[in-house]
Amino acid sequence: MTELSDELLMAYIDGQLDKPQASVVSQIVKRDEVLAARVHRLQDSQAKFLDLFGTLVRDGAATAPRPSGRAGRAPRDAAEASGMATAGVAALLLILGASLGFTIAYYTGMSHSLVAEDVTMPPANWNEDIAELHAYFTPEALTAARDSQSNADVVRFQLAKLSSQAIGLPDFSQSGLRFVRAQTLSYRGNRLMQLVYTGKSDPLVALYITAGEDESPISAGRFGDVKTVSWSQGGLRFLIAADMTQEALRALAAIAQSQLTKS
Amino acid sequence: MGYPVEKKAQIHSELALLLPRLASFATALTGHEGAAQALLKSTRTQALARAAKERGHTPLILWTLYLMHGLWASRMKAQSEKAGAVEPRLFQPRSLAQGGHPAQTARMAKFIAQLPPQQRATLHLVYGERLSYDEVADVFGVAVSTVMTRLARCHQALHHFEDYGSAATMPTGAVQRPAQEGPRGREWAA
Repeated sequence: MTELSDELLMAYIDGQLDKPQASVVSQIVKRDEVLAARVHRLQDSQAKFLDLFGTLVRDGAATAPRPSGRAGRAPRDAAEASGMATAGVAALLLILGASLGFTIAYYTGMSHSLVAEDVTMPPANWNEDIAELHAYFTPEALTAARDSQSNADVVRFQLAKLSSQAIGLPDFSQSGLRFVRAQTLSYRGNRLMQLVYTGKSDPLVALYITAGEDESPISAGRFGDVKTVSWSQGGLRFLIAADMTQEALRALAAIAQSQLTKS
Repeated sequence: MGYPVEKKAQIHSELALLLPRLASFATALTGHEGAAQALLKSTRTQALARAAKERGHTPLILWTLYLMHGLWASRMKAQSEKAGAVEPRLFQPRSLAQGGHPAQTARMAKFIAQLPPQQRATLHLVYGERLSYDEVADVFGVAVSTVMTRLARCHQALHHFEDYGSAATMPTGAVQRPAQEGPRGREWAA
């Protein structure tokens, strides 16, 4: 029996997977009766949700509540004003807020990701920017993880959003590091994946991935105690950040490069 | 701050066309007619005041959905507005109820009313508005994985509701999931 998460199967039946991913899932489901039954059940509940919410939206014009009074005459709500002001400030503090992962996304997601349609190259100080971000990232921040953030299927789904090619989840177990979780952040208007690994005694190690140039060699950077190595391959930029020696980081980079080449 | 009168007028007319959809989203978020009406009114006021300046190239519907969710979230966070009891009748479309399955429709509406607002709103955007996961994530300002988790939990909750039939046996907002590797944390965003 093949293990596929409900999240991935949902994305499959909702038509959210790209063609190669959907094709792979389709093949697996065809061969596995248990999975086929799960897909069937999800399709059944999907049909019920589509029926209900589709009808609610269509009926909306007839049944929806309408605002009373003229536009512009509603008293300004202080909480609303302060809430949206917070969103603006949060956008400016994007990098600092990134240590809280989903919190930043909560306040800045729309302003960055919906407006920015074209992928722009990260600036030349990419190493230093991400090293600074990583410096604010503490082990305590890991307590905010949700199920999906450690779900390999969901992580692969998110990685596929960065590139047209399938990207595997790098495995650093030979270096004593285990994958903990992934999350999507926003960096200068671009989607930025952060994959976090921990070891028994090592500090947090994070691999950051964003869209970028085709190929570039490894370069190094640092912010305080946090050191980085970054490189590009296959239209993506990669950066590993941790409070480790440059040699150790380069060894991890070599592992990642070799695994990414195979996938 | 002066913005051309014609631009504001254009936003005003575009917004008028979107009001039914925004009203449905307000209902999904609040589950309460009065609260939905107030939220819709605030959103319209804010949208008219800010859209020309702030929304950039974002489609007006997505920007106003984002705005509405932000207003709702800030109110909930500040607890400046007590959430009223969720009204299942709001999730019972008349056209379906009159279509020969009133009991089934009422049962589904009861289930939807029991979901946490964020899950209900996610269902609304994915299956009502037919937005992509990415768009829904942008509206809520969360990661796509959060959208996927919310959806999966909604489906699991419906399966549980159908299998066991009783709302009392359904855990609040979600079904029990098997323990997974990795830390578990607060669930406010999911």
